[in-house]
Order: sequence, then C-alpha cells, then structure tokens
Amino acid sequence: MKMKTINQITINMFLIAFLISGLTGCSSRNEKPAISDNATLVYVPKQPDDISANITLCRKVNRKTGKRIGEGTVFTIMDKAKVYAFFDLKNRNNFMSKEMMFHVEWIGPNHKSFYRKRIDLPADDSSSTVSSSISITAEKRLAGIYVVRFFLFRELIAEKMFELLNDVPVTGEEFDIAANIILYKKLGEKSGRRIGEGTVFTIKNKAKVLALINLKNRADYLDDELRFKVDWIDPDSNSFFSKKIDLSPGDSSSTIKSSISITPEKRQPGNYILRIYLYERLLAEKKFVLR
Amino acid sequence: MNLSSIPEKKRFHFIDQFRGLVVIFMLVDHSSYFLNSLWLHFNPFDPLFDSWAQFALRYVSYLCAPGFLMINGAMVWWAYHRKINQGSPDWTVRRQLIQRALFLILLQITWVNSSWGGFSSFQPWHFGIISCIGLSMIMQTAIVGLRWQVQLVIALGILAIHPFLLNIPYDPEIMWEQALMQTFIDSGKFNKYPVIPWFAVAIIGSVMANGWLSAWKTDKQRILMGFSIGAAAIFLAIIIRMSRGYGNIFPFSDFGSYSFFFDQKYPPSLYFSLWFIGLVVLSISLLIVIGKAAPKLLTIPDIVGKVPLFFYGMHIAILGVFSKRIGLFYREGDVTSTLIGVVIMMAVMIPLSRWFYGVKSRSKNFIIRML
Repeated sequence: MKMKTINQITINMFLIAFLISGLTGCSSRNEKPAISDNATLVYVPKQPDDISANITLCRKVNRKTGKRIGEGTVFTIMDKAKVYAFFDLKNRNNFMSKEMMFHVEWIGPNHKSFYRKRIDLPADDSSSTVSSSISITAEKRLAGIYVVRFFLFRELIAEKMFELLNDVPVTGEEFDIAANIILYKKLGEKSGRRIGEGTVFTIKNKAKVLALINLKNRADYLDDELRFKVDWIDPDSNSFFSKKIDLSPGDSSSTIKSSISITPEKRQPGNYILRIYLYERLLAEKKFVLR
Repeated sequence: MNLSSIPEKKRFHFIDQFRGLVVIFMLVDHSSYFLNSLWLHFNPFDPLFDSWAQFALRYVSYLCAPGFLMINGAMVWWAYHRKINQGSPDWTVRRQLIQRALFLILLQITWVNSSWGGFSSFQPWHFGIISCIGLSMIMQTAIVGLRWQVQLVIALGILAIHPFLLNIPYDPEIMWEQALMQTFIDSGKFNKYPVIPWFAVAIIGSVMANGWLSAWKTDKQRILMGFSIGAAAIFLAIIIRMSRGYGNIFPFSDFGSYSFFFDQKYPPSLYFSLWFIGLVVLSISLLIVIGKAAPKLLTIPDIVGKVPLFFYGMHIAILGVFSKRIGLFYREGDVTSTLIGVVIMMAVMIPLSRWFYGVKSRSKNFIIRML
C-alpha cells in the first residue's frame, strides 16, 4: 500500500469518527430547556420515549399518605424546616429492565454545590419518583436564590430554582382572620347537629364542653402556614388545657375543634374562658360558666 | 537492542507534537478550572455536566494523563537503550533516570502544588500527576531492560489486577493509610493519580517505544502498526465497557452517551486505561499522517511539545497568580471565556516555550536541563 493511500485512509477514518460523534452529539437532550407548568426547566429528550423529569418542591411530606404539603418555590428559613424535592419520572416504564443512575445536586446562592446525592435504581426497581431533601435552618442556609438539579447518567435533565427567605417572626397581625366561637354540649349521634349551644353548662359525670371555632377569611391564606392555639382558662385565671393546631399551606380547613371534660373530679363551678390565638394574636374569646 | 542506526541527536517530531497536543489540551482543562464557573460546583471524582460543550471541554483533557505517562514511559525506554548503546554502564543510566524522577517529585511538591493557588501558600502535602510520573519512572528503571513482551505482560497483569486492589478497605482520615493507599491504588484528596495503574500505562508506553522508535523503521509501519494496536485497545475497552461488570466503575446508559465515555478517571478503571491507551496510540498515528500531509498544521504543538514540563509548570503558575490570587475572572465565565483564556495563554506560552527551548539547548545548568 502506498504512503499516500495510508494517509488518506487514516485521515478519512478519523473524520468519520469525529462525524459520528458529532452527529450523535453525545447529548441525548435539547440544550435549550422547556418550562413545565410548575416552573421546572426540563431538558426534553430527543427521543420522545426517553426519560424526562418534573421537579416538585415542598415544605413537608405527610408520613402516612406521602402527600406533599406546602408546594412552591419560596420557603422560609426556620428551625427544623426542610425543603423536599421530588423528581417524578416520565417514561420510567420503558426502562424497567435497566439500572438507572441519577444525581441530585443542590446549588446555593454562591453558585457552589453544597449537597449532592447519587441515587441508583436497580433493574428490578419500579420507582417512578426519586427524592432528596435539605435542611433550611438558619445555621445551615442563607437567604437567596437556590437551584436543585437532576441528572440522569451525568446529563442534566431538569432543574428548578427556588428562594429561601429569612424567618421574620410572625405575630398573627399579618392575617385578616377573625374567629367565632360556639360552645355546646354534644353532637347529635344521628343528625350530627350541635345540641345544647350556650354559655352555661352543668358539671356531671361524662359531661363535656365542646367548642367549634369558625375562621373568617381563612380562604385568603391557603398558601400560608397558620399556627393556632386554643387555651382553656379556669376561674383562677390559669390555663388548664391548651392545644396547638397548625394549618399547613394547602390545608383548606376553616374550622377548629376542641373540647374539655367537665366531670366533678376535674372541674369546679365558676367562670371559665376559652381563647383562640393565631400566633401571638388573640383572635377571639368566649366566657362560659360551669355550675 | 540495537539503536545504532538512529542518530544520537535525532528528535522524534511525532513525539514532540503529541506532547504538544497533550499540554494544549491540558491548558484547555486548566483554563476551565480557573475561569469556568462550572468549577464552582464541579466534582472531578463524580462529574456532572449541564451541556455538551462543558462535557467536551472536560473530556479532551482526559487524554492528557495517559498521554503523558505513555510518552514518559517511551522516553525512559529510549533514554535507557540509547545510553546503554553508547556504552554507558547500566547502573549509571538507571541512576540518571532515578535522578530525573526524584526531580519530578520535588518539582511537584515545591512548585506545582503551590502554583495552583498562585503561590499564596506552600502546599507540600499533595502527590499529584508529576510525582506519579516520577515514581512510575523509578519503578520503570527496574524493568526497562526487559524484553517488550515481558513488559507487556507485566503491564497487562497490573491493569487486570488493579480493579481488585480497589476493594482494599482503608480509612482516608488516617493519614498513613490515606498516603499509602492513595499513592499506589486509590484516588482522593492526597493524590488523584495512584501509581500502580498509571505505572502500567507508562510500561505500555515503553512497549510502544520499542516499535515507534526502533522496530518500525518507516512512517508507514508506524502508522499501520499504531492504527492496528490502537484499534485493538479501543475494541477491548468497548468489550469491557459493554459487559458493564469487571473493569467498570461508573454505570452508563447507552453506547455513545456521556456516561459511556465517562468512566472513573480517579482512579482509572480498566476500561478507562485501555480506551485512552488506544486513543494515545491512534492520535500518534494521526499526527504522523498529518506530519506527512500537512506539517504546518503541527507547528504549534511542535514548539510547545519540545518543553512540555516547562509549559506545564508555567501555565498553571500564570493562571494561578493572575486568576486565583489576583482574582482576574476567577470562575466567572463559561465555555467561551475558557476558550478565550486558552487563546490568550497560548499567545503567552508559544514565545515563552520557544525561548526556553533555546535556553535549554544551550544550557548546562542541571535544573534547566531537567525541565
């Protein structure tokens, strides 16, 4: 074989190799992301049946139901608080027989990665959601814009920005919520109606005072966390029973219930008060008499 | 080994050109390290990429360590046999090689480590690539006189055994365990380039030198043999990768994807070593072809490839001082900024390399001749 021919063959082979790698481009996704309904930047696969992911951020997860509570992109730095990220995989069924390698990377306001997690799904794992979470306490995080990124086999497939805000102490004055307290003896077993509404109750065995607190304008604050406290005060002005009730973002409850036993062993006759607080703010109170 | 047919002062241009190509690729990676904001969150032990361009920018540099080790292995073979052929005593030649190897280790500990931070502090507690080359060189002096077939068996044996050595447990928090394991087997903060697998790559360079610099007399032979050997190494690497088991460290999705190419470099998997041994050999064949067909294309690699160690030590120092220490565009840019940095650095380094090659050629100073 002549030298010139060898040269030409060699150069052609390298050109073909470069062309192949250029055409396949190594990347299996569009470089320009699409924006999903929940503001996730999704790097759409070139093959429509390939895996893609949507990211949901939330503040809490219900341990029993797995329900995501407080979804959003703005979170407040506070004690014991976390941000959970859920990566819901589309077309996972097409790759059930294949081991999958994912990475989650959390990037801070300084653009530095502060937490990375590798998640391998074995071939027989049918999970179509993976998750990761970070603590957002004041000791660990600063306020600012953060990004969570999701990679499949080292390739970025989705990312989402979110903001952490400094914890401003909530007093309750921020909310235009009012409360109306109704006291009654019991609920009708069949009708479910309140029986014995009033402010005077008789101490006796198995007797109770039940309270129904209706919240006005509650619907205006569905995206906020609302922390209530119900306080029962005895004739000596001491709190003998209090109960905290947190309504998380997304929880649409507009009533709060509480009750006390008024048996002779537990209560003395006299003037009592029921108070309902939203954070530090007294929303309403109702006086009642036990005799 | 009879090398008498090769003139003593002969330079192998394809070796210079390949070394030049390697240091230019290295500059690309180091320019990215100093200028590219990707490095604010990039972990070289577990790389993730947000675009194809960032992937390509990083991947070109993967040729550098295997290229440097192989060529250094080849040069050890060449220096040893040339001097023996000239009548130098065996131990004298080996001692000179060890002397150069120790110089490399000293250079890493003193200059290179500190240059990354622009000499803001002295950082001797790091081993690094140049020390790895030095220690490989010392080990190579023990076997450089053996026949190439024996050396090949040793190299392949080491490469085959290394994946099992990675299972040796150790605590990286215990200093001596960290130093011992990461010097020879594993990678970590102390050293990313463990000597055992890279020593094997250097031996392959020594084996190839037998062909490149002696047995294959014509460029035609070098191209054809290089092409065959390179293709065989890559074919073997692909078989190992596709088996998804032994010799792999990271899993991958499909043939040709990011993850297929990006198996672990720190420490190198068996797939990684074979793949890049193949690419080094193929690249050298390609450079010989280009050197024949269009030699002017190789002018720049030829200049900087004559003084690769000087280029290495200087370009990191310049970037370290101006970018890291003074803060000039330190990790503020992207791929484009990185490439602009490469062009500017090349504009500085080409005349500097040409000047230093002249100085080195005339000098009898021990340190200058070592660089």
